[in-house]
Amino acid sequence: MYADKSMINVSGISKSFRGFQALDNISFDVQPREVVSIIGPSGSGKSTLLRTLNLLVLPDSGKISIGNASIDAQHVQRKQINTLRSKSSMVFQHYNLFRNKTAQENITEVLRFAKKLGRKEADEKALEYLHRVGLHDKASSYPAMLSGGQQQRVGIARALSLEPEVILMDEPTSSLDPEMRRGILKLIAEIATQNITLAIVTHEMNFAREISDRLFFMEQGRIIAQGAPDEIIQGDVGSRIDAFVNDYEI
Amino acid sequence: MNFDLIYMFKLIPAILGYLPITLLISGASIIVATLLGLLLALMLRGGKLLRGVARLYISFFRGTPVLVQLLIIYFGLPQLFPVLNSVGPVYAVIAGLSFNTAAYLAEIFRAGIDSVDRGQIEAALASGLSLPVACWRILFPQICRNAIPATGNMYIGLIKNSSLAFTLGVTELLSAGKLEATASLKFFEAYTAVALVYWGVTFLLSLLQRQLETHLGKPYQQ
Repeated sequence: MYADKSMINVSGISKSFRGFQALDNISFDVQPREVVSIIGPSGSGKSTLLRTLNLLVLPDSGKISIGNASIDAQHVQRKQINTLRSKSSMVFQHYNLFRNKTAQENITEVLRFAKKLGRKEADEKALEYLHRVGLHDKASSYPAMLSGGQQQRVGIARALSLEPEVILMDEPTSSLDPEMRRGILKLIAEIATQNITLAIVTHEMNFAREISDRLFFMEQGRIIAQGAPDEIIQGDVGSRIDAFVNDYEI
Repeated sequence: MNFDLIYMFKLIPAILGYLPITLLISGASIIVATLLGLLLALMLRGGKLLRGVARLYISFFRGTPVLVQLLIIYFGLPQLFPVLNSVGPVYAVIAGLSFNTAAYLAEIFRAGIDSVDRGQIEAALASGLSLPVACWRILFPQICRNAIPATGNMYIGLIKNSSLAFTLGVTELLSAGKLEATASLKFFEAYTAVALVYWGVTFLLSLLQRQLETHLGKPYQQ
């Protein structure tokens, strides 16, 4: 079965906030090691969709599965939420580093309390991942001492260190200035080549086209087109996408 | 001018003998008030009924004088509940100061909780931390840091208010000073000695508070 092989399977999820339909009966699959980017105008439900995948937003209805964990929004148990969350990790637009912890502690904290590693092992692993994002010399710096780009690198290291089946990235470069943005995009492009399943919400159209296997275009809480980047961006899939893409000067 | 400095300094050690009872009242009240304040702060963020009860509580205890509250608790309540007749004045003072201070602390803690960015808990949950672990390891230290200055002020106020125990017949710092003053008729010296002892205690608490603020503020220095 196709659905059995997929890494992420979303089936008929809907979510409304005080009468506003943020997600409208969305279904899709993502294959293992596939990189998908979710694009679309502001308020189209991109971030909400991403945040339902780790249940930071609980859908009103529908089913979500990641790897071998699944959940039915209408019959949710706390244990299932924790299991589903353990399959993914997240990189946030505003980094969301723990402000009272150093760069290294931001990683050891999740390794110790989510992955249940011992303190020493967590410390070593945290340093290893900081090294991977080029920040091992900032291990003992607190987030307030780091630039936006550095904070996002720590955020990415934290997400990678959990070694999840899927990494979710919610506009990872939107809060950065152009120079820092380039560095982070390069880092994400590297990660994208490393056999990991990635779902990214982004406004960086060129970047999305380069690194993605597929693009999802969202509007008004629906995925109105999905396919290979060139198909979506250059193909004849509707004037609304053309207008959106033109806005971003592709 | 009639001021006996030597008498005043000699009086201090005698008054200090009553410091333990003041510290007992203050310490116990601080603990009870903090726990009750936390509970009320959580109630303020809870459902409609819980929020309503907490708001009513806070409104009453902030809107009436603490001395009146103490008098109600110590002299008034036993009238309704005779079993409370056996409760000593020290316990009544601890209850009154705790109930009163908790009302203020609840608002301070609520503001402390609200001041932590929602992204902090989201990052913790998205990384697989359980809610209790996320609250204890990530949120609580940040809430403390935001709440400590105002909380420290409340604790200092509570220590000073413990002198109201005097009105219920507890012999603590102030009543010890008053006894000395009445015996010697040196009111200025006696009450100044009492003031100096209170000042010493609250000064030490301020120092402790400042150290804690520095420690918890370390991650936020750029």
